[in-house]
Amino acid sequence: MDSLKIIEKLAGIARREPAPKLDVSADVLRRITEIPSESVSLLPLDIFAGVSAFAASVIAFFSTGGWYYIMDPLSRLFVPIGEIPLW
Amino acid sequence: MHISDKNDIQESLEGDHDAYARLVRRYQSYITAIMWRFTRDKAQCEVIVQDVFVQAWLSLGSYDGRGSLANWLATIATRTGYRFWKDQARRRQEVNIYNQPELIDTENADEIAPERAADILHRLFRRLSPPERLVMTLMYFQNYTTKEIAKRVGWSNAAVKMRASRARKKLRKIAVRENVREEY
Repeated sequence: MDSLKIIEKLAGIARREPAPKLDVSADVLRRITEIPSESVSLLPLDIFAGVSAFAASVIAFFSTGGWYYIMDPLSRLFVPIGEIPLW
Repeated sequence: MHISDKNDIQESLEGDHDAYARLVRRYQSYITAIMWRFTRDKAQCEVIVQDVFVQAWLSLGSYDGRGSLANWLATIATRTGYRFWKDQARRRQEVNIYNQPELIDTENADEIAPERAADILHRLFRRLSPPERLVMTLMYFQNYTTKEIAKRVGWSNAAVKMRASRARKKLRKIAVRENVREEY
């Protein structure tokens, strides 16, 4: 008989096996009461997000001036030829 | 969804641990039956059943109530069992006994006891990689189709089919090597 057929046959029998009887409710309750509350675990994340936002606003403040330098060479392309200084 | 489940979920979300204990007591036999396919050790089984309910407690807010609570818990259980196997496989590789041969002996398959049949299959499937083992376990022990497995574990149907095909090839080789045959 093909080995896979035997496996199928064994599986059919194995499905009738009863699982052990367990009562985990007390242990589950003990474990969930030991889990630290969300407000405590989120505090470092909040501080990190605040520092990141502050750093990003400082960078944005100083880089605003640089934006005009980036735009300037592009705008020259659209200036009429007569107005472009040759030297 | 069962009306008492709905009330207990609501009360659990409000922090009532007794309500959650009622849910645990209602579903622990069902979850134990699933986790018993992931380990044959009663102590280990107890720990992973607890893991499922702790994980379910942490994710309870994300349960939208569209499917049954049993189905939602079964998905968490399957993923918890899979993680348990991956950790086990990693530890086995560390101590280098992953490929140790084990003798698998079958008697006449018609007369075999369910515990013995489950034990043989469990030892046989342990030779597979965790993803292949998961597909075979759900397919043979739980009688799931590839579509149902894909939905439960979050893989594509094609990936499940590919893993099932590879696992079957490996099982055939192992079965021949380990002398798994039926005596008629």
